[in-house]
Amino acid sequence: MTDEEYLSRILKSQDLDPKGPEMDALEEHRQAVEKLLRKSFGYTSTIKYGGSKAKGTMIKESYDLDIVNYFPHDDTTAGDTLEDIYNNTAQALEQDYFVERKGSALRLRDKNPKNKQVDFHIDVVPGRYFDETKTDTFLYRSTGEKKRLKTNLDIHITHVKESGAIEAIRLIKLWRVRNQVPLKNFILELLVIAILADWKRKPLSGQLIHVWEEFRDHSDTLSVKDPANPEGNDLSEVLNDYTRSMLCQIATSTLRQLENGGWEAVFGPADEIDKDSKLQALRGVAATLPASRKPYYEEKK
Amino acid sequence: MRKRSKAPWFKRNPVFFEKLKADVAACYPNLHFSVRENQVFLTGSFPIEHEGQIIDHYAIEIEFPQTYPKGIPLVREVGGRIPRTPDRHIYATEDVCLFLPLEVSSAYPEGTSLLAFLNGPVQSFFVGQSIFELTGEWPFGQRSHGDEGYAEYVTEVTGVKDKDAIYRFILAMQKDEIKGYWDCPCGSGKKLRNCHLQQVLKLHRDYQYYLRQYAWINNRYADQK
Repeated sequence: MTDEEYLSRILKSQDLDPKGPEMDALEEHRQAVEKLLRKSFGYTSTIKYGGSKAKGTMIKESYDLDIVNYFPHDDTTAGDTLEDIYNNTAQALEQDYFVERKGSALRLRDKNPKNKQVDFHIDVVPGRYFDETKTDTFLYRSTGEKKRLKTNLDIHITHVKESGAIEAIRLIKLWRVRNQVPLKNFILELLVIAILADWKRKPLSGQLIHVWEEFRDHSDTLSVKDPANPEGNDLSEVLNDYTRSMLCQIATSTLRQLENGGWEAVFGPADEIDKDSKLQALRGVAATLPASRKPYYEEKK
Repeated sequence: MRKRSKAPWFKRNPVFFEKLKADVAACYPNLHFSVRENQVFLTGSFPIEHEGQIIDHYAIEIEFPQTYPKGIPLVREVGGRIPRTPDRHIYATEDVCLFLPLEVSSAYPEGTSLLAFLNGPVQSFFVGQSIFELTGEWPFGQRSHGDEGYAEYVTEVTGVKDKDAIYRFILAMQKDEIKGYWDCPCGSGKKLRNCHLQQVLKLHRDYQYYLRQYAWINNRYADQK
């Protein structure tokens, strides 16, 4: 198998079947969320997918569903201020979900106490359009000095879709998950697009190596701009010293793995192991453990 | 005289820290050390390997106590794969419960290296989780929750099953010292030195060792209240 064939199979293994159980579950939740929001605020807002689903960069290993709920610029159904819209949207969702308030998004978790707030992988992003063109949007920021940011979902989606780097982005996202790289997907996407600006025609394997080499060799000077608001939204605080040093460290380790063990050392086997074989292998591992332990649980007092 | 605050372990012993990094990089290349606010973490993908092939993996974070290697590291599953329920032996905080804390002297004896910890109890926990996902059964069994788990252990050590007697054994092991002239907790009427003395001494040692290894974790929970 060539490197390109291998990476192609890894990408395929990360495809989410549009008719599969994961997408069905997400679609169910999307409908439930829309129903809740419509019930509370009526039909004036625009509710649609954002994030990786809209951009085509979803990966099976770690996927989130971003649902935006944007009100017209002169609509006060959900409140007068952005903060009101954010909090009122959270309250509406709390009828059926446990809501974790993030920077600009509202993360949905299971409300059932027996399920201990299981994460549904859904972020709802409330906002208000800048004007009647319904393009630029204001979002509330619950953290940081600036209490609002101006962005544009369509620009983000187009920026990614037309980057020519979607396959590289998906594999770098997979790398990020596997190595717990402390960097948001949004910033990682922008970095990859910037680094691969002149590399679109190169083989995918070469693109990935180039990205890691940039992380390893130039982590101090990496920078990105928000394509939706390049001068207004400051992303520099996200690329702090800690993040840069971890990018460098993990990329260095990955390049070493690649050199010593090839692509499988980085991304694992190309083909998913079937359940029976997996169980047999797991039992094989269990039999060789130096000393097995019985797991336990106790309520913390 | 003012007490000098102690530097964290990785600053006091950088050679030891570098060796840890090298050991982990060689065996677990997808786990990475980081330092945040003077606390050391090990994060990334924890693999389950069979015959050179990775058959499963979990996103984990391991937090090291400031007194490391004194004090057992805290392991978390941060990928959200394991439902945070008691029956899966994981807390809502993502901390996993590798084993009954009282068993720490056998699971994590004095001088256990980080690699031995990863290859032993950590591997055991996640292999168990993967097999449970596929079969609904715990391959190595599981402890009952809460006090019942402790009772099971005491029964294994002493052979005693009576609940009142087990309770007396648990009280005894928490004493500062063990005295042979005490009445044996089993209720035989004999003095301890003529009955279950060795078992009580073992439980006492187990308990003292548990207090030392879990002190930093227990203090943190106490501070959070």
